[in-house]
Amino acid sequence: MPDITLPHTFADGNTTNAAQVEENTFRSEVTPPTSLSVINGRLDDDNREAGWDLNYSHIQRGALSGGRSVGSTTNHHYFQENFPNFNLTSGDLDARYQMIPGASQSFYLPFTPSLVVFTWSIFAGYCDPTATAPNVESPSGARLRLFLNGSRVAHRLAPQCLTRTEGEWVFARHWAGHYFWTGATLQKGWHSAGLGIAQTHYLTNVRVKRFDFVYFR
Amino acid sequence: MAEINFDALEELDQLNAASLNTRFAEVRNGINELPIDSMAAGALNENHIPSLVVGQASIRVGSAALTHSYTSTTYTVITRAGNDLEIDFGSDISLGTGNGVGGILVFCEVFARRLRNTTNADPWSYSGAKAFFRISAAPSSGGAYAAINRTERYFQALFEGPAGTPNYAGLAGTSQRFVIPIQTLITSSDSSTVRKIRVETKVAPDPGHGGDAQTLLLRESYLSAIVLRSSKS
Repeated sequence: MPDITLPHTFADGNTTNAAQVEENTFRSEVTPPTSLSVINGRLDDDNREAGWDLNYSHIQRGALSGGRSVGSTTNHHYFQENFPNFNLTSGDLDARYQMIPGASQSFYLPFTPSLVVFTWSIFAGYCDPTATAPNVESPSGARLRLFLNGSRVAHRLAPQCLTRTEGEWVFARHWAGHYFWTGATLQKGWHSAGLGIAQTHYLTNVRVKRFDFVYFR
Repeated sequence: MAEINFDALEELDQLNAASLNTRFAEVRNGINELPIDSMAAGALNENHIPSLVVGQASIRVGSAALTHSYTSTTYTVITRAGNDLEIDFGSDISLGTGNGVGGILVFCEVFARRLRNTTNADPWSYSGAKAFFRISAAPSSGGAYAAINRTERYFQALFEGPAGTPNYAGLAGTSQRFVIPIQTLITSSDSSTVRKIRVETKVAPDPGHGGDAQTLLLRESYLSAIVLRSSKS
């Protein structure tokens, strides 16, 4: 919207025209607006006096972006018994995963943003006294996934690591990942996101560094 | 001074064309030149301001099941089935506050499954074999890629422990399975314009074992970018 340019300038000697006076005051349907009616919520950058810029003090907290980071300082031990009926094929169902404390959170979006970015860093080590010899490719029976509002996110699955009967640390790995959430499901309101785990092997040791989200207007 | 001081007509003042014009002009000029104190703190919310995100893109190449291999000792783009791990923003993005773009925030993860020599033997003890990764940016559609050196990451293929310590020689034949994360903010100090970004990799031979050439196997890899609006435009 440009600066106001009033449509009528009056000259002595002309016949008084009430409509012209009114149009200078209020012309709601004219685009671009050329009357004083722009004060009804249509002021913009063009109306700003030169020499000053908008700064953060003018903008409400959370209007441009917001977010939160969570983490955990404890070690989490997950045993096979925690995941009945889970397997890596037909039993790999969302409902059989457990969300990991410190790697998941519920959050409120005060408006529908253009983008939400999730990032995380998590450490997992896999032990299994029944594992095959480590010089054979022996993927672990654990899966770590990203979940959004209770459903898995495609292609956000931790690289499957190896198990070993001892020396868990050889095959313990960090998983650092990110995900951009856009599209029709991204709406104002409450949501949940986080990393879930399920496993068929004996023990998984998990240490969460962080799970973050940031939304952008 | 852009402040509206409406001079009301008093009895006996002349009501004529000039007096009307003067008063309309007073209000018009005031609205056209709003001063800084005309806006209260916190007056603007998400309904008044543009998005911080000028543009964004996210891509994935490769799969969790299939690997793709690299043997080049000079940087080459990561690619799988004809798809490069590359984002083309569609037009040249001019970086800098004067252009309204503060920077490009980049996220990348590469799943490196294995690094071993080309005869499929595993790196030796104290192996110096390495796999490198970095992000590069091209200023225009046909422009040459330039490395963003601070994004360079690597891992070493060493698996066997030194003598006298727990010996993991039995691990020969296993794969490393590292996820290599890279995050960076590309600003005007890196390049005045950016059209494309991509992820590149190379391998370095094993000097401790006769300079064996190496083969790097990758699986799923991700690259995402947010073009962020500048605080001033």
